[in-house]
This record gives sequence, C-alpha cells and structure tokens, in this order.
Amino acid sequence: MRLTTILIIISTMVANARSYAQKVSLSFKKAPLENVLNEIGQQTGYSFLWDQQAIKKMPPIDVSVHNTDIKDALMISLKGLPLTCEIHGLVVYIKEKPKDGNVTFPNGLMPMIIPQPVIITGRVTDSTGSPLSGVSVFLKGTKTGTITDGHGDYTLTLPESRGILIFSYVGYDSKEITVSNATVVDVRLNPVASSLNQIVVVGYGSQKRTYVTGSIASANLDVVRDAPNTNIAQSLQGNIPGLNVGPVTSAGSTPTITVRGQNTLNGNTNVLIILDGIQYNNSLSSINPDDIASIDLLKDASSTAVYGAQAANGVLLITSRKGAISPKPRINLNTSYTTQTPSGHIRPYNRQEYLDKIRDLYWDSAYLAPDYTKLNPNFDIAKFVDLTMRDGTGILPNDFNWYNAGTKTGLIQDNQLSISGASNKVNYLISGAYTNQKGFIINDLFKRKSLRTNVETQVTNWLKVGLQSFASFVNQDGAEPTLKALFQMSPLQTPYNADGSLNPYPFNSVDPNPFLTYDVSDYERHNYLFANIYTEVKVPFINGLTYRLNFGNNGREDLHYYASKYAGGLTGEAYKQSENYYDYTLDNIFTYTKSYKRHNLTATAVYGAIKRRDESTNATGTGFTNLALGYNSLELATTQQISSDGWQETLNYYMGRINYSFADKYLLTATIRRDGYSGFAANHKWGTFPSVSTGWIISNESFMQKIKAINYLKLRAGYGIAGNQTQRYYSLDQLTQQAAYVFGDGGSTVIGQYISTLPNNDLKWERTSEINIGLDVNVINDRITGAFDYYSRHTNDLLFPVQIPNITGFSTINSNVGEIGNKGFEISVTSKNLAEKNLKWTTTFNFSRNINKILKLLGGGDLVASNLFIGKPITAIYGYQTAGIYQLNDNIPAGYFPGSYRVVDHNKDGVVNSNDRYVLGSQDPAYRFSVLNSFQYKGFTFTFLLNSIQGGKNGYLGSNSPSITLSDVNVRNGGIAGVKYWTPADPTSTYASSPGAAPTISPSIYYSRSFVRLQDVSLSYKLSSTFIQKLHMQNLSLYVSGKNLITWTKWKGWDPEVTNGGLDPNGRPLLMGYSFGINATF
Amino acid sequence: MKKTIKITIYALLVFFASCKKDFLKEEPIGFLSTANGLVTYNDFNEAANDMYRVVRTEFYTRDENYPFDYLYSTDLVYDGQASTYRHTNLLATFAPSGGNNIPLTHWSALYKLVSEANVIITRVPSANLTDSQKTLLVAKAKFFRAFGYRSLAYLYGGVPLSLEEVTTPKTDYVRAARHEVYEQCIADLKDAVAGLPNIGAVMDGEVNAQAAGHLLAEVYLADGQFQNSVDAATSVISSPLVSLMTKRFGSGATNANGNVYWDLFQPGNQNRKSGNLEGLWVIQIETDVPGGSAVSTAQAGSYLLERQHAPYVGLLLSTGANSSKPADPFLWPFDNNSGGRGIGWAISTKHFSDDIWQSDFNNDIRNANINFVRVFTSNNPASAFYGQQISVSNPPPGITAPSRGFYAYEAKCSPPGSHPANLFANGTSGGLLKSTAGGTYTDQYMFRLAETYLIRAEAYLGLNDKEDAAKDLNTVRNRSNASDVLPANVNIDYILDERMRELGVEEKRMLTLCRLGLVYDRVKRFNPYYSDISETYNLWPIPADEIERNKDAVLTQNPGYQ
Repeated sequence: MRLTTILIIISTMVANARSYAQKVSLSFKKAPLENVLNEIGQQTGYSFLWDQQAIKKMPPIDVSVHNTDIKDALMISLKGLPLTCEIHGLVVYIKEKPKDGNVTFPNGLMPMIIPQPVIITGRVTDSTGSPLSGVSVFLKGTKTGTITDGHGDYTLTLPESRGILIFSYVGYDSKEITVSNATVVDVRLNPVASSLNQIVVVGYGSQKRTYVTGSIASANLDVVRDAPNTNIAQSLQGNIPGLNVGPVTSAGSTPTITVRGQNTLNGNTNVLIILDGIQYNNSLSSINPDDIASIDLLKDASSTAVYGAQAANGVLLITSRKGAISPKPRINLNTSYTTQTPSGHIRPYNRQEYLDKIRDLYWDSAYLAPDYTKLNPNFDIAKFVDLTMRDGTGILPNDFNWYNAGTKTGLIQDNQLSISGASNKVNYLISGAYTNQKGFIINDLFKRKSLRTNVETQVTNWLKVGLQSFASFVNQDGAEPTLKALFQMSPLQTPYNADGSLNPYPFNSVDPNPFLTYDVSDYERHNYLFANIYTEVKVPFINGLTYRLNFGNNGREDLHYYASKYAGGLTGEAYKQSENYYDYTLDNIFTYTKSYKRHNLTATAVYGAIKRRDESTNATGTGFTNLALGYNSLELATTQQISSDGWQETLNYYMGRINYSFADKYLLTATIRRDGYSGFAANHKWGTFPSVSTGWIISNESFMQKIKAINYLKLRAGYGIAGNQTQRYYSLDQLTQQAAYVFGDGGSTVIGQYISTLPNNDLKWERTSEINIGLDVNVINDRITGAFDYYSRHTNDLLFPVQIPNITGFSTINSNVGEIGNKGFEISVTSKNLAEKNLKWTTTFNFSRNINKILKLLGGGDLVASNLFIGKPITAIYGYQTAGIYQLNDNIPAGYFPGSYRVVDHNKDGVVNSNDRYVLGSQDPAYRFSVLNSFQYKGFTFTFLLNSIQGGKNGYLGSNSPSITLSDVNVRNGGIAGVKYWTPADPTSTYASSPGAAPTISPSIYYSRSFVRLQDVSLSYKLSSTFIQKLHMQNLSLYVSGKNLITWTKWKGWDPEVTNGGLDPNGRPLLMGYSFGINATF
Repeated sequence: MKKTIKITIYALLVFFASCKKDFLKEEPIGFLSTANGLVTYNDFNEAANDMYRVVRTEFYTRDENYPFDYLYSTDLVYDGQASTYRHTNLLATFAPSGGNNIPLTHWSALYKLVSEANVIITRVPSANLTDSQKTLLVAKAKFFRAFGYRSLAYLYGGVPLSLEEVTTPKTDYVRAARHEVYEQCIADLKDAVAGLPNIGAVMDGEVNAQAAGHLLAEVYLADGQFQNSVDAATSVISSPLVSLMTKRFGSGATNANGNVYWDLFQPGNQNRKSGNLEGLWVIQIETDVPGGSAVSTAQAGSYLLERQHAPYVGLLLSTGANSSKPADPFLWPFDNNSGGRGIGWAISTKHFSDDIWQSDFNNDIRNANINFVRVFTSNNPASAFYGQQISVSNPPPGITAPSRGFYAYEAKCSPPGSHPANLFANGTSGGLLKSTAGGTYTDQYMFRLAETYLIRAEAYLGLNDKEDAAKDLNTVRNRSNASDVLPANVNIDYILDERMRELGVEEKRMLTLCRLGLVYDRVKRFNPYYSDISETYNLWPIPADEIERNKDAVLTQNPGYQ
C-alpha cells in the first residue's frame, strides 16, 4: 500500500477556531477508524492525511479517552493496527507502520511539533498555460504576500505549513488554494468569466455588478488602450450603447458626449462628468488617458438621480488608477507614434478648374446665345477675373495649391511613465506623460504635459487619508490657418510678393492671406490643476458606518496672447486674454453597511456644496508703430481696449440612498436628492429628485438551477427623476453696458446701457423622468453575456428662449415650455466564439436606438420660428422639396432664374412661398451599432471595431448642396474640385447657380449621412517571458493600430459625421492614422 | 479613542451645519441688473446715451448692407452687382420671412429704440430724481420714441403701439392705424420740443428742441396736418441759433476749388464747433475712440457709404489708346476724387446724376465736379491715360458709363483727405489706400436746416401755397447758386427732385418715398433697373416671424405680400 497513490486531504477547518486544541475527549464503540480520526480533527482543528483505501480496510475500533493529549489519543486509537502517525505542524499523517516494527519516536511518544516557517514556490499561468507576471499571491487573512515575476513564478514564506493562498490578477478570477505541507503550488487562473464580480462605480460609492439595479455600463478600456486617442472621450466612441460620442477634428479637442436622446431644446446636452467623485467641469483634454482605471456610465434616471438637478444627460464616472497592492513597485512605460491624414479627400480647384468656374459663372457671355452650349470665341476671360489676378498683360500665370501648402501629415507622439505600488499602509501612483500632437493643418498644435499623484494611506485602522491630484499643462501655441481660408484663395495667386514677403491681402479685400498666421506670435496655454483630498473614517461604536469627506479642488488658467503685425488693417494688433477658473466641492458621505442573515443593506447619505468662480480679463491694442515687444507692451498701441468679466455660482445638495438585497435574489435601490442652485430663479431655489429601482436575480432562484444553459439572469426595473440645470443668470434682468457714443469732435466716450434680457422669476430646471427596464443574461457558462435595456423618458419644463414679438424690445424670453419624449433600447452582447488554448475570439455587439419626439409646446402649437414641431424630433428639418434645377427654356416663375433649384409647390396653392415648407426628416439617427472583434493567438492580440450610425428613412440627414451666385466674392474665391455648378452647357449638374441675385428661395438639399466605419484596428504582440526576463521586465508588448481607416458611406465631402462635413470649406476632416507603440513594465 | 470621538463630532458638525442662508443667492459679479443699475440720474443718462448708439447703428454703421436699405430700390441709386441685399429681385429682398430678413432687421432695431425709450419714460417718474432731471430725460426718450415710431410708420404703415416698459412677455399686439402712430409721435414730439434744451445749449450731437421741431414738422406733414407742419418748421427756421451756411467755413475753407456746399461735408465741419449752424442733429462718428464706432483698422464699425456709392474704378481696363501702355487708367483704391475704395454697388440713376441738374448744370454748386464727380483724372503713371481727364459723359472706347466701374457719384460719400492715416498703404496721408478702407469718416447729418426748408415747402404745397413753397425751395437753391423755381412749377416731383439735389445720398430716401407712398411711382419712372417694382413695395411687409411670434392676436400683413 503506497501512501502516494491516492491521498485525500481532509480539512476540518472550523470557521471560527483559529487556535488548535491539544486535548481531546472521545468515546467510540466499534466505530470506523475514519469517524474517530474525523472527530479528533474536529476537536483539534488539525488536518489529517491518509490513504482512504487503507483506512477503510481497518477494523472498527473501541476508544475512550478524556481530556487526553492529541498524540496520546492518536496512539490509543491506532493501537493494534498496522498504522502509525506523524504530526508535522498542524497536519497529522496516518502512515503504515514500518515493516521492521520499530517505532522511532523518542520516548515512545510522538513529539509535539511547533509550527515552522514554510517556503512555498510555484508558477501562475493563464488558462492557456502562458505564465502570468504581476499576479499577487497572498496568505488569506494576513499581509504576507508577493507577486509573480516575468516567468509567472513566485516564492512566498508562510509562517506555518498550512493556510489559504489567494491568487489575484486584474482581468482574471481570483483563486483561493488551501495548502497543507505542500511546498510547490502551481495555479492556473481563468480570465474573468463574467463581469458579474466587477466593481462598478455608481456615484458616492460602488457596487458589485451583480447587485446593480439601474442602467449602468462600464467602458471596455482594454480594447482601446492602444488606439491613438489623445482625449479619453475618443476611446468611448462606439464603446457603450447609448453613449454617443462625436468625432474629433482638431488637435487636442474634446468631442461632444451625449447619452441616449436629446432631452433639452436649449439647455446643456453634455453628460455630467465626475472625476474621482468630484464634478469635473474642465476640458477632458486635460486628462491623461493612461491615468484612467475605469469609466462607468449612469444612463437612466434611477441611477443618475444621485446627482439630481444636473444629471438628466447621464453621468460619466471617471476613476483614476491606484497603486495595486503588491510589495514590488510597477514601473510602466508606454510610448507611441501616430500619423494623421484626412479620411475624406477634398482638394481645391486647380488653375484650369478655377478658370472654368469663372467662365461658368458668366455663362451668358462665355457661351453663345440662344442655347449657350457653344463657347463664345470672343469671350476674353481676362476681363472677368478679379483685378488682383491680372496684370498689364493678362491673367497671372500661377497654379498654386494653397491647401497643400497649408497642410501636411499630422503626427502624435505620446510618452507615458507611471510608477505605482503599495505597501501595508500606503498605496501610490505617480505618473507623468507628454503628448505632442501636430495636427494636419499647419500650426494646429497641441502639447500636453501631465503629472499625477494618487496616494492613499491607512493612518490608523479606523482612518484612511488620500489624495488624488493632477496637473496638466496644455500648450496650443501657434495660429493655424482655417481650411475655409485655404479653399477660399485663388490658385492664380501665391502667398508671397515678388520680394518673398507675405502678401497680406491677396484679393485686396478684407480677406487676409491665410498664411499670415505663420508670421504672428501666438501663445495659448491652458493649465489645469486638480486635487481631491479625502479622509475615510470608520465611525466607532456603530459597526459598518463609515464617513468620508471629499474636498475636491479644481482650477484652470487659460492664457491667450497674440500679436500680429498684419492685424488691425496692417497697423498691428496684439492682445492678452486671461481667464481664471476655480471650483471646490465639499462632500460629506456617510455609508452604513449591515448584513443580517440573508439581508444586505447599504445606506448612503450625502451633504455637499460646490462653489465656482471665473474671472477673465482681455486687453487689446491696435495700431503699433513698433510691435517688437508684441503682446508684452500693449501700452504702445494707439488704440487700447480693455474688458473684463466674471461669474460665480453655488450649489448645495443632500442625497440619501438605500441599497438593499435579500437572499442575493431581490434587489432594491432607492434614492432621494435635494438640490439648491444659485442660478435657479428666486421662486424655485430648490428641487427634489427621487428614484427607485429594483432587481431580481432570477438565476439564483431554485427553479432555475435545473436550467444549466442560463447561468445568470437578472431583471431590472427603475424609475427616477433627474434634472437639467438652468444656466446661471438665466432668470435675471440683465443690463448690458458698453462704450456707446462720443458727443462732439474730440469728445470723450460716454457709457450706454440697456436691458438685454427679460427677467423670469419662475424659471425652473428641466425635469426628466425615466422608466428603465433591463435584462442581464449570461448563458452557456458565460460564453455569451448580454444586457438589454428599454427606456422611456419624459422631459418637462423645457428651458427655451421662447421667441416673442420684437415689439417688446426683446426677441426672446427664457421660459419653461413643453415636453420632450425619448424612447429607445440598447443591446449589448458579448460572445466568446472561440476559447481554445492558443486561439481566442471574442465579439461584442452594441446596438442602440432612440426616438425623440416633442410632445407639447407652450401655447399648444408648433413654434415654426424656433423650428419646433409637435410630434417631430427636436432636430426636425423643416424645408422645401425640390425637383432638380430650372433649365434655360423652362417656364421659370418670377424671382427664379435658369440654374435655380426648382422649389416644389408642396401645399399646391399655386404659389411657391414659405408656406411650402414641411418636415422633410430629421438629423437624428435611426440607430447606431458597433461590432468589436478581438482575436488572441499566443502572444498576438488583434482587435477591430466597426462603428456605424444609420439614418433609416429620412433620418440622420445633412445639408450638402453647394450653390453659387455671381458676385465679386464668388468670382475671386476658390472652391472645391468636383463641384461644378449648373450652366446651360452642363444641364445635368446638381449644383445650383445664379447669374444675378439669389433666387427668392434657395433651399438646402439634404442627404443621408449614414455610414459604417472601421474605427479602430489594433494588433499587439506580447513578447515571450524568457526574452523579457533577460531584460528584467515584467511585460513588454508592441503594437500597431489604425484609426478611422475605412468609412463606407454615400455622403460626399469630408466625412458624414463631422460638422459641415459635406462639400463645404467650412468643415474639417475627420483624421485617419496609424500608430506604433511600445508598452513596457518593469 | 478620544481622538476618534472628537473627529466624529467635528464631522457631524460639518454635515449638519447647513451653509449660510445666502449661499445660493444669485449675485452677478460681471454685470448689473435693473435693481442696481437703473437708479441714479447717471444711470438713466446712460440709458439715454444708448439710444444714440441704436440710431447710429441702425441708420449708419451696422454693416455694409442694412443701412443702405434706405437707398436701394428708390429713385436714387441701383445695384451695381446683382444681390438681394441691394434689392435685386425685390420678391426675395422683401420676402416677409427668410432670405436676408431685411424687414425683420429694421423692425427689430426700431422697436428696440422704442423699448429703450419706454424704459426711461416708465421708470423716471418714480425714480429719485429732481423735476428738471425728469423732464429732460423724458423729453429725450420721447424724442427717440417718436423718431422710432415715425420710421416704423413710414416703412410699414400702421404698427402696434407699445408705450410702456415690457416686463412680462406680451404676444397679443394689434396694429394701430398709421394715423394713430403719427398722433403718438406728435404728442411725444410736442413734449420733446418743450422739454429739450435749445441747440445752443447741448453738446454737439445731442438731440435738442430744434431737431425735435424739425421732426415734428415732418410727422405733421406725414399726417396731412400741413399748417401745423408749417408752424413747427417755422419755429425751427426762425430760431436765431440756426441758419443755412452761405459763406465758406471750416476745415477746407481755404481750398479755392471748394464752395460752401462742399464745406458742409468736409471732415470736422458738421458740428457747431466748426461754425456750422445748419446741422440740427448730427450723428457723431469718431474714429478709433471707444463709442465712436469707426475704426481706422478695419471696415467694421465705419459708415460704409464710400464702399457703396463710389465707383469701382479699379475695374476699368485700358483698352487701347496706347497699346504700349496697357495698364489700367486708375490706381485703386486711391484717396482723391476717384472715390476712395468704392466698389460701385450704388450706381446713381440717370435721374439723379443727369436729369435733375439740367436747368442749372453749370451754375448749381451742388453739381460742381468737386461735389458731384463726373470727370475723373487718371492717376496711374503706368497708364496711357495718366493725367488725362476721363468723363462719364464721354468715356474713351472700352469704358462704359454708367457702369459699375464708372459713373457720376456724389463726393460727400468720400471726401478726399478724410481717410485716417492708418488707411494709407504707405503709412502717411495721400495716395493708395489699404483694403480696409471703404468708410465715410465724417459725421453725418440726420437733420439739416436745408431739409427743414424743404419740409416746409412740402407743407406749403399741401396747403396749396405754391408761392411760399417756392420761396423755401429758392432759399435752399439760392445758397447753391441755382436759379429760382417758379411757383407754378412747384409740385411734389419738383420737391422730391430738390431733395435729391440738396440731400442726395445723405437722405434716407426710402423713408421719404414710403412716407409719401411714392416708392412705386418714382422707381417706375426713374429707376428702370428695378423692373419688378410694384405698388406692393410702397410699404414694407410686416415681418412674418413677428406675425408668428405674436401668437395671441393677428398682425395683419400689408397688401401684396404673401
């Protein structure tokens, strides 16, 4: 009988017994040995090791001892049997007696063995067998621990030979292993099977995802870490269904972020941003994306109601990283290099196309009457070009491409270094990053230096103190030409005079040379400071009650200094603009947690206040005889203008919340918040915002246990009210004062003032109530996980500057009008298509649809002047139907010309006028979807994200109908190649033209902006552990990624998603690019 | 443990100690509201000052388009380059809704003036001010309110009367009869005449009893109260403080080529400070002074009459007199009698530049080349024409007159030497101008005594007193060395022609023609460019947006508009 064959470890850990008893009392008659040994184990807490088959063969025994030492009790029990025992530490080995019959215990007694330190080693691998480095290994209930090295190996010294080891690693399920006497413990960790155990930040606290009852989603940041995004918001595009992130077209800028449908006509539409618990009003471009640990989004009113009057547009909770609990610091270095070029291709007219445009504008002289299809041989175009483009001998000979000269491939360099770690009482993260972006338009520059320190210390066992802080210094020096100006210039001209100097006004008009921006001093800085100091106190005497104080401080300084010798009509102009912003948030948060039997309760109470203050000063000087000192000597200007402004606002609020669960099946969350805001009108200073939501984890019901395919199923339902705050000063009667007049020649300036807004003391915040019903489901062992949410929102008391007759002296009054409804649903499904050892493939599909409708308006009817129509979306397009272009010999009504759009008499009253407008469609998308695929093969990871916005029928429309009228400006200006305007010789052209004044109605023509975009592609490779071991690294990976590589759309122009993205020189292209990077951890 | 308790107590104190009661009180730190900004005499004077700014913006300096809605589609000028801003395609220009929103833009500005006046008129009586302060403020406000309503009534016909400060939204206005609006103006102006100081006692540019009297005479005229009009005008004309200028004066007095009419429009010559006793209400434009509107460093803020009315001589191509020197005859833009930086948008009608001058073509000083430029001297040394005189009446081959590049224009829109030094390309006065030129940098007459005579002449004509009408006309004509008109020849056409001769582009011609209901008649006869003119355009449309906004009552539209 070999003891090594089958060993069963019986652990008889008694939950509440940490000490091991040495005395036992037993009384057995004809009892199986197994039962006797079990009883000894029960009484002492010792573990036993034996060969189950051998023990079963033993005859029943009689034993009776009272308060006997364990060694003696064992000897008595085994007496007469071919067995003996050895005690090592807290483990008892039952062994076969040696054949020679000698028992080698001194004095015939077993020794009392004192627990000894034991060294445990082992290797941690992932499910494919690849070693995992950086895994933390801890002895449960102690602070003894280590982390795995680059091979996944670890060595840990335990105080005794038994205990429970906890292996944990981000993104993997942690594992607990009980060890007894073993010295080698190898462990395989499985990736987090479901996000159920994930901790979700819910505002003034956090919750396990399982217990969440509202509509709360977490961004999947891992898949976009390698994408070239300088702004954290860009990473969220297509990431969460219902979160709509706009495109970014200029260096360092922040996209618009909205949640679900538009709730407001004129109020704020942007999501509320909470950074580390503090409301964050500064630009997201100040935040280093690498410092962010998680982003959670509160979507429905039952979740957002904790933020009350400001939460109607959803709440984005951004949490910065903390040092992980590990004895060894983690040093991470990430560097990447990215190119950027426009994703849409538009170029300006070249010389010939430009001359063709001039000829076409003058088609009535350039072609021969009566049908104007044959060129007039006597047409001398030199007489028709702008006089700045001809010299004594004719047309200037140039063919200059201003656009090419004003743009180049953009570049982003990104370097990030962070050091993080934690010891027993302190955890820390210190990071620094430098981003240098050169936009594709020359001088569109963005440089950011950011520094972060997060420190948290457990001062005593009841007091924790922490600091989350960052400073960010953004440099946007340099004035860029506008794309509009580049397209506006004529290819017949060049930026330079014969002597090489810049020609300031090539058209001899007020339109400057776009390249003047290269020859100016432009200093633009934005400095951001953020510090949240917090303490957490375990309140004595009341078990489970903690108090947290957040003191968040937020500052911003904006400086813009500028000096140009060309400005001010070439007399030189310089200015200094500075703005200072500061806010503080003081939050007192009480949290009480109590578990009793199957009841779990968390109660939260918040009392807080916010104060914001902003001040700005501008000084401008015009007319310099010497601009050498630029903006630093404004006093040298002949005309000096100063102005200054300031504002402040205050908020005050209370919030109470209860999270209750019973039996891990029935969940309830209820909150109430009361908000006061200085900007609310005198009669409505305070508002109350309640919410309640419930959840039912159906899969925890016993009747579900049989359905193996479904391993998690939760039904959620919630109702809440959130608000959208008015803007400050919205309800006041405001006097506008200014330098108004000068009486007499050489007189002095007198100030004038007038009432610029009507007061409204009854102005209230907008209230959004929302019902949300959701379902979370995981099937086939978490192979497929999904979430489905349906919502219906109703917004009342819409704030809107209602148009009133100008007879009053005002054109609008800020009022609460009408109601808007938003209904929609969101689906998110993740499927692990393949989960082999070496090959994994995961797909996530997100889909969202929202229907926006105006339900009611002040006074009952449509507000045509404000473009608001009952039953239609806010973005309804009210316009004309067109039917092609009037041709030369058509019967053209008065006020229209050949080449004008043919406006349809939609109401068929015989006259074409403004009564023929109707709702053509809307700018709202019908639905959005995204598909994320992620493949893993050995060290390679390949992901790609397709993102799409679809308009369906008459949705997501944009105006894209260039038209032209004969005028000086249009003759001299350049334009977009491919846009050929109507002439009798080109009767099929869809772009209207007018040989004289504009036609009576020049309608816009709308086209679908629907698109599918390959938004993010990335391939990364994690180097093998043996290689990086030699470099003393924990991790080294390389990646290449691409952004916006392909867009499938029928839209013409820059890009369907960007503003003015059509055939419009006012637009800016969406940028596509490739990036390459290295990520190293030491 | 003691420490723990202490901290807990402090924390609880923080939680329960509510913020101070006024923590949420809203106190703007960057602007004033009526509670603290409309209290003192000084505050109300600031409110009064703003009305001057509103008037100047509306009629002169808003931008390059809207102030000139008072000139285009009248008998004075036509559009040099087709645009609805210059009233080509009247259907689009005066569309009640959309387009350039011309009807709404002026409507809103004029009602803004009315509302600012109403604030003063409503608030002053209960303010803590002396009686004389109250009288003066109300008289000023009533002057401006009448000025606003009179302009509205001329352009749009009867308009809603709003006579109190509006503090809550009102959306049920109805149109008053045109006559009622005139009556309101007359009542206000009577108070203004009584309450405003004489012109000698105010600062240059301020409204005064004489300006109010002039306006009163005009509104009486509009309302058909001819004798009252005569009386009101007489009280102005008979004031010893004002008189027509008949002798050379002011900044250009030593220029031998000039004459007294020319003097009236030279830089610095509009205010009484220069000795000018003819200006009744002079709109103040100061360059590069806050509140002065005009700047020398940009076009915006200036009165862009030069840009509109002076010809675009830079367009002229030299076609041949001497093929070895093909350069254009004119350097452009240039500070001389070639019109500065004009771009030829407001071309004089044949009636304005030729017909009206026929009787006294050579002796009327208003038609002297220095005042009405028809002969231009080539200023381009590279041109074959250099130094030669080129006349609009007999241009060389290849140059068409009238055309956008070349027509007779009134020099008061661009007095040579009036451009600020900053506008000269070489940095010192004279010669080529920068591309930011285009403004008229002199003060502007809103009311001038010569017009008071013409108003009285019109009133006499209304009374069928052609003798006295002719006398007044001849007073004006004689100053300019023009021959007398015979009483028998006086009729409304003659008076309108005389206004053209005397006032030209200085006049808000649209107001005059709308007042008389003669837009269609005069344009049809004298301005063939606007071939689409019809009776409809004798009044502007009520802005359609305004009809929509006034949702609780109907503002009826003027006939012909839809």
